[in-house]
Amino acid sequence: MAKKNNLYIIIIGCGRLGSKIAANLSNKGHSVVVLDKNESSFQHLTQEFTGFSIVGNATEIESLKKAKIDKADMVLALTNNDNINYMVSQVAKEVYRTPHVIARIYNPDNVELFKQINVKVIIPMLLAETVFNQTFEELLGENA
Amino acid sequence: MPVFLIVDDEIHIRNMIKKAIDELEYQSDSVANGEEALHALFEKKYDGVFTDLKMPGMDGFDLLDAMNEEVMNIPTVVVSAYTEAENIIKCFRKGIMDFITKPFTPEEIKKVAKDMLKKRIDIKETTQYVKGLIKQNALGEAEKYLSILFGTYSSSPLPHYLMGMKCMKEGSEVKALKHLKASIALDESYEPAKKMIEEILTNQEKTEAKSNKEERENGEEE
Amino acid sequence: MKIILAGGRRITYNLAKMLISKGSNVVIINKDKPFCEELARDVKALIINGDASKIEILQRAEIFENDIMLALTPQDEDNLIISQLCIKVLNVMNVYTLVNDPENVEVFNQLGIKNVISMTEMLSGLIEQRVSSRLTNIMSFEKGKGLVLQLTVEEKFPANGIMLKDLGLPKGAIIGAITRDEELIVPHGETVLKTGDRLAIMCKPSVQTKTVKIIAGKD
Repeated sequence: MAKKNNLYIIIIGCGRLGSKIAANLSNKGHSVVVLDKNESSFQHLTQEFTGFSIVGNATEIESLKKAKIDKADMVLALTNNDNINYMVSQVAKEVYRTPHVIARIYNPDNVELFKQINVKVIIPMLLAETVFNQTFEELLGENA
Repeated sequence: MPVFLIVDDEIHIRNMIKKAIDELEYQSDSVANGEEALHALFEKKYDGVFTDLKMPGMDGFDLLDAMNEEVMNIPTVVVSAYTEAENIIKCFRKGIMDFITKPFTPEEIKKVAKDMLKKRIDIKETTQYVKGLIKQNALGEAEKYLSILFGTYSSSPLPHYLMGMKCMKEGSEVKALKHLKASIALDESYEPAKKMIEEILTNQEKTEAKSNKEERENGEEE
Repeated sequence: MKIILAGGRRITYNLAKMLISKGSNVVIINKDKPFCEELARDVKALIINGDASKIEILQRAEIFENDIMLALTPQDEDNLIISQLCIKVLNVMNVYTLVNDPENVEVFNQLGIKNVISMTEMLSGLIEQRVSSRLTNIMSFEKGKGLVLQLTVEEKFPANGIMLKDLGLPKGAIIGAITRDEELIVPHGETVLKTGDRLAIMCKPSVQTKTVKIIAGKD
């Protein structure tokens, strides 16, 4: 993928994380599409967001087609449901050959499945654990 | 330098299309509704138009109708979330070149921008070709291409000018003048047609002067 | 060899009972605790209360390669992950799954899951069969290489009263079965076609029109 400045990015799930990432990315100049099955979720989007929003269920191929997933440079699976994130990641990678797919998952047990299809995963619990450990060490260091 | 007109009531959409056009290093102007678009189209010669359908006031359909009434013949692409088949068919019946659904990618915008330019460039290529045909006296062939140009670019001074050129080659000055004048009527600043009219009139004067002189000389002899 | 039923409610309940009555060894995995308690009372199977899309739950079921997994949850994404865990991690050879969105049949196939059943498609196919009395395209198989057509013989058909061997069906077409007076007949060359016979024709798409023409005439 040569160009880096105007990517076509589809974000599945407009929760707190999804809407924040959407705003950041559209701010950076990318073409962002947010897909969520509830219209009300789009209230999370801030003024900064300059992209598209579509209502639809990501487990239905029709919705992904409406978002033009075949033309996506990147898909971010950020719903609250690990299994939906997995299905979307799979479909994006294996069926539509999306170059880059990132998924947020809560349960670290299925990481292997994602790795097998070359999907990057973000696991909040593990990140929090790492930061917690660091903070813990720092605090102990301060008290010494 | 290619320049496009972008018509959409949402600023984010206008910006996204503009960004894609910028990446091609082309120019663009943006307006928010059909009225402003029509205004801009009268002021400047655009190579292509991107328009939304759902806009307050004069919407996309009305704009397409207005452009057709004025016979503007500018390649137009509709960019809309209105994806019902009837709407799309309606637009194509009004003569659009392509229809892009929202959401769209920068690549889609770039591709149709280039397609729109290709349509513009064709008139130049065909003109060169027709000129060549006229020079070689292949007037039948030339006539064929001329009728295509007349059909596609009826508001351009070019087809009448070329027709004038062809008539000159055939030797029909009167007909040539008719076409050249029609060419000027479409565009009063069109130099090639003006020049050719001048040449013909100058020649006519010279020929008249010459025949007057001969008449006088003949008269004198008698 | 055991059969594992993951997810689902009524379908799982009834399927389990049917399989057990045929002598199969059945394991049921279900998230719903009260439902599991009901199953434990009524069904002679190992009941595991848990989420089948989690590997540790599947491991509790001690699934082996030659077991059969049926993913029957109402959510396509859950059925996907259950199937994939079984295929990729547990090396189960026979995995069957339900999908709700008929378009996901193709998607699941592309993701490596071969045995996918869409209730929607099946039911609409059945309705089509009922409603249409004449020629129906029941199904295609082998990725469209073969068709199964259903055609009821009418009085005026040229094939009416003719022996199969004399029909002159093209190569690539065969009348696989005839339903006559509610009985299923597997025909042979000497079988004579009668008015009212419901024919199940198997043929290649390329000879479909010719075959129908030979049997039904130019209609």
